[in-house]
Amino acid sequence: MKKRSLLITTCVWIVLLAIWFLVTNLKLVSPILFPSPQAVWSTFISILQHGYNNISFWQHLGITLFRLFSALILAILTAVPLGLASGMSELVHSLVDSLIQFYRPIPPLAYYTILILWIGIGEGSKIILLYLAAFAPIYLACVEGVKHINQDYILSAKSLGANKWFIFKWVIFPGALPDIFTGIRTAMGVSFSTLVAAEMVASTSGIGWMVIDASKYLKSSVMFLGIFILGGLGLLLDWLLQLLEKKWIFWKGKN
Amino acid sequence: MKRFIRFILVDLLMILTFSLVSCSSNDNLQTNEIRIGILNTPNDVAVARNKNYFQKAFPNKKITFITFDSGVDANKALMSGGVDFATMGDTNGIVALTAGIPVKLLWINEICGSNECLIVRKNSGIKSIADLKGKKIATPFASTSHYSLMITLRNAGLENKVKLLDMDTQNIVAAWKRGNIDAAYTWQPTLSQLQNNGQVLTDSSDLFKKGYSTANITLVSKVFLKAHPNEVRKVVQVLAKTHRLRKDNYQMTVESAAKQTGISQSDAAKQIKGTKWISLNEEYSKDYLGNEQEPGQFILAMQRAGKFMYGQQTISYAPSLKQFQEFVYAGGN
Repeated sequence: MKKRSLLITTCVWIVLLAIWFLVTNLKLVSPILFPSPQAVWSTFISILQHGYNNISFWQHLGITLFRLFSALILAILTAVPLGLASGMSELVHSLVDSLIQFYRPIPPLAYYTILILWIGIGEGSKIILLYLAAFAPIYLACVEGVKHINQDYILSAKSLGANKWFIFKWVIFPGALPDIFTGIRTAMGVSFSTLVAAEMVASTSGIGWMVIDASKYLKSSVMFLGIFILGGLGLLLDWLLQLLEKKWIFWKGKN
Repeated sequence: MKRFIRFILVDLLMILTFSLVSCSSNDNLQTNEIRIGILNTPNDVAVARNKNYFQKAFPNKKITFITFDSGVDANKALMSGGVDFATMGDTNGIVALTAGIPVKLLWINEICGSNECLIVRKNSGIKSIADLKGKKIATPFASTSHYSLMITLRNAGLENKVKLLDMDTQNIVAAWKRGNIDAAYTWQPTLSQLQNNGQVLTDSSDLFKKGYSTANITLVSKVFLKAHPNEVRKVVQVLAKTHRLRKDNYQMTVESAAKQTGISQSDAAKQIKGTKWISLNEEYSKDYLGNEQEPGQFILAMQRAGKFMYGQQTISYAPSLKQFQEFVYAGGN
């Protein structure tokens, strides 16, 4: 079964690639609207060799990953403790939950201009934007994670004489860990999709910026390349997180 | 497997119908509507709108005006067939030419002068262009201001020695107020918001004297031109009328432009004073657009700009003089 679905997936990609190749090489569509696969490939080689706008490709990729991971690490460091606390304590929950529920559905672009006015145009405002996008999913997952823990486990630990810290360390935290990981994966997806927006204003580097800049000069092959890189990068990062999840949370899905 | 093949077939069919639909929507010209992409500046189009010149010239047509922040978006609209005419900086016109958008250069709306300036903060300690070394300068990329800034920096030997930031005009004002940038190359009305604590280092009229002219131009889509050559001629007449009005009644021109764009008369006057509106005869003369036999001076300057932009890797090739000559609308006289 697994083999068959893999085959179908591969076929879909090959067919789409073939259609793309045919449609562009038979000149059925304008090359500005739809560059050919060869054009995108040669753009990729040229950007690898010469960089884009006097900045090498690896610097563009590096700054983008730096922004993403700083935001993500910051979000994990703050959202996990707050989420767990909010899940365990009624007091913390009533203090912070409504605030987070309020800002969560606001599209990040809506408050980005305010962030720029407050923090400026440097790396700070970009990282804060991604951080805010990543914070809410992790927080929510932590709250849910704590709530889903079987109360019997906590009661059993208590009856065996475990203190609060001990219960947290050996019951609540490991119990919530699968949910926390799901939260982190969601958070990465959300902040990844905010990336282009974050690099849209007053920036001169990054993969997202490359797409925006190329659109100003209608360089569609660079835009296609940027979109492919972002898509591939997103898949790769998610796959890495899944690997970590399997390694660290080996008990997930087993009761 | 059978189901899978059917799935692929359905997919193919969908792609086919989609491409057919998108093709036909491009050809489907609504003859009763003329769609004009405009910039929100007090230029000739604004005056013509305020004086109802378009309505008078086209009594039976619906004229739709679509405002763009810059030529970047106007080009996207031209490419997708969303507008028939669009006004933009001439650098965006070069981008349109190299990207192969089916358009022609119809009209020079205004030659840029002191309405586009390189302005620095008063307390930044920058007294001359050489002092810009290592400073943060903002400009909207791909605009005429961007080109003028790059030429200024190159002439001063400061290429790659400053930090350039790509911002649209509103963000330049915000970053200026916060003190995030030391200098900006931009246009009115943004400039008047910076002038309180700013000092002008140079403006585009200085570059014009050195042969690096920049201008706002109007492009017309080839599809529209082919289908309605008379309408295109009429649009040229409408715009020429505003240029005559400026010559004959300057005060009225400023008033109409200010009213249309919603800015104060003094701001409009400041901005219009900085630009040059040339007469219909001059437009297609050897000083500006020229004709098929003889390229105009403005076209030569545009070709130089094309070469420079190619050198900056912003466009994929430098168009030849012949390509520029073919780019110009013939039949303006």
